[in-house]
Amino acid sequence: MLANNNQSVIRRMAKRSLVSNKRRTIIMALAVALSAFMLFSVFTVGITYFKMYRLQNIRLSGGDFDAIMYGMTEEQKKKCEENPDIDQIGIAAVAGSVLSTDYDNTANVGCVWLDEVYWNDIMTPAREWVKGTYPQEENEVMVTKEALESCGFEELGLGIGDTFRALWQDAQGNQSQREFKISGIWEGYGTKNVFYVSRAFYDQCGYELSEVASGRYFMTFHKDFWTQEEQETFIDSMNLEKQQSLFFSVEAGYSIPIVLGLAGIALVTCLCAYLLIYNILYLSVAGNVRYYGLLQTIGMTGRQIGTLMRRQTVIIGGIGISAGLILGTGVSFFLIPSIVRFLGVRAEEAGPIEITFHPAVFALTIFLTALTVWIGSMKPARLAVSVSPMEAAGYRPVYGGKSVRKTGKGKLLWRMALQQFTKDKKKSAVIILSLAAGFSVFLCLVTLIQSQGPRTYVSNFMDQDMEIENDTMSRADNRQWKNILDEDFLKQLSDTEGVDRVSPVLAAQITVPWEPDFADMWMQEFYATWMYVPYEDEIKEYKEHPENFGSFLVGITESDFDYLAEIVDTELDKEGFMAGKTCVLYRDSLEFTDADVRGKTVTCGEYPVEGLAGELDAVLKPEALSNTRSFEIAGLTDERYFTGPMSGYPPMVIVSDRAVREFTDQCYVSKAAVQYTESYDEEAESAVLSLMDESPDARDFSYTSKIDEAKNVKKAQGNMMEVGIGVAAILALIGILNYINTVIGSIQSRGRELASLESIGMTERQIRRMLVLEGLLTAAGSLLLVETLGLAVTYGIYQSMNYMGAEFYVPFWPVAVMTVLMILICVLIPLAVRRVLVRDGSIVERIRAVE
Amino acid sequence: MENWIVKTKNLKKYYQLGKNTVKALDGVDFSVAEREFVAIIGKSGSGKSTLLHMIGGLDEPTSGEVYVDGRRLAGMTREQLAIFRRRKVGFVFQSYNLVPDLNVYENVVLPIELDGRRIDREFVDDIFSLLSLEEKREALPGTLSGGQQQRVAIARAIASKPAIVLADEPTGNLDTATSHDVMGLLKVAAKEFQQTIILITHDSDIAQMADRIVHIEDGRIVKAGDRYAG
Repeated sequence: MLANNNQSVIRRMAKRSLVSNKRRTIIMALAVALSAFMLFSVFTVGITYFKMYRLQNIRLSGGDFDAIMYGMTEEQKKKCEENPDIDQIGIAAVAGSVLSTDYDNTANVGCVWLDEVYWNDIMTPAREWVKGTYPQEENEVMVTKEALESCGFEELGLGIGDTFRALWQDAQGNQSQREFKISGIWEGYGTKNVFYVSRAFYDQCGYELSEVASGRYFMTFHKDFWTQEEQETFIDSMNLEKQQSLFFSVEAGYSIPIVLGLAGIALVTCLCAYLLIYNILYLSVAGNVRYYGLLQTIGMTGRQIGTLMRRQTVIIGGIGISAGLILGTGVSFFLIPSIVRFLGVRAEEAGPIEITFHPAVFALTIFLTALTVWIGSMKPARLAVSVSPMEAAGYRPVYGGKSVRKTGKGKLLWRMALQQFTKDKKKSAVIILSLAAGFSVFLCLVTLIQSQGPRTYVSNFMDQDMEIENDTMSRADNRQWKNILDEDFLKQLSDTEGVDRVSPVLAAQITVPWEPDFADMWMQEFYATWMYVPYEDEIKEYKEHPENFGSFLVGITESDFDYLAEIVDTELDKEGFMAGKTCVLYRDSLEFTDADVRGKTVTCGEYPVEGLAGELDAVLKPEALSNTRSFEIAGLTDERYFTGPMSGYPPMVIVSDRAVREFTDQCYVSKAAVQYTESYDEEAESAVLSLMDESPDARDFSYTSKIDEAKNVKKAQGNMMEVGIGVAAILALIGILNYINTVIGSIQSRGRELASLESIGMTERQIRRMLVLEGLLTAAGSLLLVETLGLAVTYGIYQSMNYMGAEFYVPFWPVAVMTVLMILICVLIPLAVRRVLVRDGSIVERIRAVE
Repeated sequence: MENWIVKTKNLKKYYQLGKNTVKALDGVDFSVAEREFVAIIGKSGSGKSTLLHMIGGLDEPTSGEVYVDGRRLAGMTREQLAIFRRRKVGFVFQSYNLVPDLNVYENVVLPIELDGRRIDREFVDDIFSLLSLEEKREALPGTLSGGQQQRVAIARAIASKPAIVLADEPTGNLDTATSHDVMGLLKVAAKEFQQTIILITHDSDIAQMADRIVHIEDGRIVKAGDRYAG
């Protein structure tokens, strides 16, 4: 048989049919364009996010690594070397610190030795430039501008080859004057208040690499993504000792939920697009069965019809995908920076957001959209080919293939609507699914944003409007402490207009003398958890000089107690606490439970030294030695609010403010919580701020304000709501387009049926009511799906991203608005379509039109 | 004719088709008596269907009046026309126009249900037995033959006890034998249930079954016809 070249006629017909079915062509191209746009945006956001997030993490942590381990034994080292997952391990080891120089007596610059892997591989991406070379000789150092400034050298203009003298302290606390020679300078990100030293220097500093205090092992892995479980397994496999710890960097730790989330959105987008394309093509073929039958009658083969349809699909797909990519590229420049920022990349570390246009994103978008179009068009094409000319001539859609039907019961219009709705179950399912998809994404985003939002607002203790701290309390020398929050100031504070209540927290320095029952048990656990020297080495000194192990007695008001009683695990006896008989201890992350300490007694002694204990100028107050007081321990708390800037080895003892005053007059107000009459009252806030500004001690106050935090949260989330709504809107738009299209198709294909119903006396109002009922059924189906499956998926995604433990709740108003909107869409669209179609002529013309 | 149930006065229907005006009906004066069976006969495009549609309230005249059972159709709203149709008119179309997803019984009682009236079951049963449809009560229209479907359409037209039954080429899609069966049944049913029937056809054999034949040509009645006996 000779091949007959009929390509040109088919091409012409494909074009002609697209042009004459303008509405269908436009909707389909729009659907393809929207899908391509969505996919492109999702992928671009994903890639940009990862790139920027990685950069931020590298810069924040000063190097490109996946996990960090503090201290490593030989055995663990061997295990790591044998582990095929680990790519390389770099070491940064603490080698003492520079305490002071002739130019600054509080220099405090760390000395760190880096191995080659760390300096050459891990750290490189966090450095902007390096001059000179890494130290080789014992006295050589690699410096930063910041470290030189900390030492007070900024005026000297030191450069490579110059030397300086500094007081250095080794592992054992021995101090010595040393001369250092600058071998290089670097600039970049991470910890910069540091001098990098040579291996030779490290070898004489007294630290061991296996010590937690010195050796830090930075690991990089071959694998990019680690599930929570894999991470835990790996950590377990290292058999960590009590003081050792191993952390995965945030990137390796939390990347999976975000990847899954983006993949989910991509999948839903593909699904929505598929449904729309399939639906449009299917409807158009079903509506044009006679046309395809006619083509066959005049001699077009099935293959030629297939080619015709494929050609149409290629033209529409091509136009749609190109439009989507252009739209995506354009919008990305505006949209993506805000999404990426919301996802948690900060401007300071990552710098301006650079949009990444990876060729793979284009390829993947084109591939996925084309695949969707192709799959969506396969079945309609088969239908078009399978129609026989005879069938086509008298074609009426037949559903279900049933021959009889039980006579229905109930209201006629409901019955007819339900009939229509269940007639083509697949089509109804497609519509419900595609509407539900868009709204489910909306539900998911709104819930995520709303539930995650408020957590920062309540991070303040007891939801106070402002916390004012006495910064002098953080100084080591107790002679520098000042009662800047004195009674006078507190009174002015409570008298300020708009201020409802001021709750001061008292603090007095104490000793906790050694005794075998409680103090010994506490210190043992404290040393095991926090200290590198064994408790046994220091127990003698603790027994003889408890003043070298100072701590604090904290006094709280009655209202603060009420809050404390709520957050403590055990029940507190208010009377006993307020009377000064019992106390609560700050747990300090020790592995104690309430049962371990409850009922035991802690004894506090008045702190007997003025100045720094052990220093030459310290003054002993002998009369204080005899002032002690014991409290029964009622429980433990993890609330850091009461401890403020102070800390100690022995426990911080929290008692009533009365008990503190009774015990000693050497007490200070360490902080005060301020509650406004009306929360978020900006006027009250500015009055309080100006009161602090006018105080002679203005520089020693610091404060945190709920208003400021709320503003920060708003700023951080500012764009996300719009972006989220944008994504949901596009999906909802696809769903709605799908619905409109189906409704048009269905009302059009039922045109004759509706016209004959009219001819036998169904009024327009009855027809409209029937259409509204059909719409309501669709809405109900979609809502049911959104509020079951959609909600379940939302909950799943929410929990997988919920590292902050925020409570899950579905925001009422957005969901209510969404529900109403969905119902309106489902009801109004059929009415509008009906209105437009009925305008096209009298019943007779409409019956004829179909005939 | 004294007790007419349908009357038209100088009925005109003009269409604008491009630059030409098509006169589908050009001043038709026509009346039908109660319980009369009238056949309107004419060539394709003669205006016979248009006349039927005007009488059935499916289309609006350009000018002139239509009265059915004492009601003047001009000035009725669309809603009123729909209600008028389901109460006063029963239609039988060439293409049956049954609702495909309602069963035979549901199709037949649909106009009554749309009107919110109580279904006269006995009456409906009588129609079913007369038209031999008892076996097909729960069948869906798609499964019936053309003749059966048209019998369902006739049942539907009669079930609501309308003032007139309008039949637009009811046998157009049927073979000759079936056509005669259906026409016979239509006639019997009309007699049995005392219905007035206006039938449109281009088939003079079929027209012969009517009491009276009206010829229409170019939108005008050319021969009002005599009343046949019987």
